[in-house]
Amino acid sequence: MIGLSAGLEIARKALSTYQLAISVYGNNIANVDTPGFSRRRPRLGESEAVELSLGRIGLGVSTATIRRMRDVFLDRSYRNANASYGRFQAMEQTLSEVEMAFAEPSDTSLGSILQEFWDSWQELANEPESSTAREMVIGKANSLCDAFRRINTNLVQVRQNIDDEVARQVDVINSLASRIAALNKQIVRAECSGNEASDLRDKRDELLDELSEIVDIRTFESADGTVSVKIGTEALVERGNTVLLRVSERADRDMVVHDIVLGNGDHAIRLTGGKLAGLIESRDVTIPEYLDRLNYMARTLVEKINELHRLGYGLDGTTGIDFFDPDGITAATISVAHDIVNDSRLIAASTDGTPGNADNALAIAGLRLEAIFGSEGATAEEYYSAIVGDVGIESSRAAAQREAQELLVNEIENRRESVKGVSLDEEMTNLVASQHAYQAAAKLVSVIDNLMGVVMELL
Amino acid sequence: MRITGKMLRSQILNNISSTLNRLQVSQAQIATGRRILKPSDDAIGISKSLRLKSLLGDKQQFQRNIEDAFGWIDSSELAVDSMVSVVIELKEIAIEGANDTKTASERAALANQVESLIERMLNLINKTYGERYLFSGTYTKKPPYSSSYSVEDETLNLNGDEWTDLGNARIEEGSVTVRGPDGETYVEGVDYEIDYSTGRIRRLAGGSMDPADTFTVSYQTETIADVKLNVTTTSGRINREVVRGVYLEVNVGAEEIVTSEVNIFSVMITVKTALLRNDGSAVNAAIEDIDRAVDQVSGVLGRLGARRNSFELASARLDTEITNLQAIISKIEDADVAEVIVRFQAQQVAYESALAAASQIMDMSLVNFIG
Repeated sequence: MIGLSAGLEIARKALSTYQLAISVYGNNIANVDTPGFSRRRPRLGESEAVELSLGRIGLGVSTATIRRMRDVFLDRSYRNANASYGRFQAMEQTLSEVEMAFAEPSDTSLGSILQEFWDSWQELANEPESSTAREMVIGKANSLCDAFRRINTNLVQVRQNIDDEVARQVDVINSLASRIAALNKQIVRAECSGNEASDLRDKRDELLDELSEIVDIRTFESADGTVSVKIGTEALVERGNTVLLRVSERADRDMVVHDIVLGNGDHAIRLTGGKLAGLIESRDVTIPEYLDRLNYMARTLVEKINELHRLGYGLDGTTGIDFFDPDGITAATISVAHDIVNDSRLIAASTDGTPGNADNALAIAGLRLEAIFGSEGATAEEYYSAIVGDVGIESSRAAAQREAQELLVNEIENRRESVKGVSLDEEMTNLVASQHAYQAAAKLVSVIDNLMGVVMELL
Repeated sequence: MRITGKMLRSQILNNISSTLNRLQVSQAQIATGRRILKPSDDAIGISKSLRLKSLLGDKQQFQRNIEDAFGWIDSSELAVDSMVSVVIELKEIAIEGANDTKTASERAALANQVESLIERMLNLINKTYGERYLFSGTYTKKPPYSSSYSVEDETLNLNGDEWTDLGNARIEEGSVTVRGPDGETYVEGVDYEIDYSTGRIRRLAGGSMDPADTFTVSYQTETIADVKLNVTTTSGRINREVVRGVYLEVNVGAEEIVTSEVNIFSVMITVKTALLRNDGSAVNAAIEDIDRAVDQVSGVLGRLGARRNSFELASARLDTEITNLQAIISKIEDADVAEVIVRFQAQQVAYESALAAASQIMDMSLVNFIG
């Protein structure tokens, strides 16, 4: 037989439990749009019952814990997918800038100017004595050199911007790592009482999400609640400590580029995913490849045209002159020879020194369709269109990969949101349920009060 | 699966932004009329169109080369055609001048006409196209022929005391010098005498000239005495590329016109001199050479016509190829406007319905129904 006062105790526990539940739901509702917030659930449990002769009777409700709704597996998938997403996004960004550097298709692109350059030699062949045709050849050649230089400058600029971004991202990583380490310490302190530090964990998870987009990380949670973070095999965060990243400078292609080094290490760390990996790959592989191809094209043009040009004769009978400056054999330095610019009569259109002979101009114009570029033999225009084609293919592939990865990240994020996200409808339902439970418990107090009054009157 | 408001919202946002994205692409295609705006829009397409454009540019340049060649050939044909009339006129004058009934003064008048024919012929052979001499081979900065009123170093033998013809009649008085094989000079009136009007010379008996020697005579004339080649050669070819690797010649050398069988200028001067000397039979003798000259110049005209045909054929072929290439490139690069507009409208409908659905869904909440 339990007493009336036990009933009061049941009502008291119910009142405080539902009050607590209401504040948890209220907090959920208040944080419906807070980034990184995971909804909380009060886990209610029945208080231990007492054994009576008629059977066990419950002694009311109690709150066991307040739990953070979270799926660690989904967090890990999210971060892996996010790292790939970051990488593809960085590459897509770079490639679209490379695409812009080539400015195809347009009337002012290298492709169009190259064509006009060949045409100007044909026009010269039609009128080898005319200084207008000669100045035209020089004008088109200058435009051609400008177009090479413009693409080169743009590509180098893109590369420089990427390198700046790499250095900036290192600061971002260091800041994130320090904050994660600080949270590790706070969590250990907060959780020694046995309660989950949900708010701190939410913050830490948000930082880890952020970090995963920049760099491919692996995380391990220890029993004390701290998380250690590794990049590849090297530790970035270990409990409350951080090994900071730093940059080391290295000269590469007339530029100072920054390698990323961990702590006191002496070698650049290898990155496989994340925005940073995409940036570094673009800087060290993608753009240099296009620069190489552009340089090769400029060099071949200069060498082949000079070779033919030296064989011919100018209007004044001079021979053995270079048309392009023979020292300018890169896309950055290609230029028309000084002597030619100063005196267009030096352009060697003739093969025998007579002014009406234009066979050398025709021979140079004929280079247009000669397969002198690359190991497989392509004409200048084919070689160039292959470069542009490759930029397009790589760019659209990166865009497609980024898009696919974005879908995947969104899908995982959806599944994660499905676990941790706040649904107002649900919270409202729970709120109403708790409200009713609270009202009922209050009613219970008044019933027991009545009963007790009855007993009192008997006295 | 548990759906939260945030999931719903981000889904709606994603859909709206991707629809808007597609709308923007269609809009850009309509605005520019192009299907490919950057290489990644169609990488294969752009590299193909770049290659085709290069081919097209090549052919358009060949077409321009042919245009230029037509200009050159037109001018050449015009000049050579006039040369044919000159030579035919020469023949008419020669036939008239050979007539026995002609008097000396009539023949002298005809000789004047021949003189003007020589000048016309010279103008024609020195004709320019732009600032280039048409018939100079590759020495296009110099006229191929030049005339002179003097004769240097005409060699002749003086047998006995007969009159011997010099190459020209109407010689300037006092302009003649005669040299022997060792460069020694002789004195007019002592060693020889000259008939200036008919251009004859005779050794004077008692002079110091040895009849066995060969003498060199120089003199000035009142009319054109000689027309000489002014450049080293006129056989330099001027070519136009009309198809990849195929070069057609546009120019004709002056020598081919003037001297390939008979030297037309020499024939003209011979006729003129014979007329001035009132020598009908010498004029008659030149007619055969004039006939060959007519054939010679007409032959060149025929060859120019054949050359024009080759250029015309090449041009017609290029025209077809250019039209085809342009059609292919347009197919790759240009947007099918009708198709894009239909797509644009469909996307617009999709966008508007996405917005409408979003506004309905986002309004819904349990909160609205709980009092």
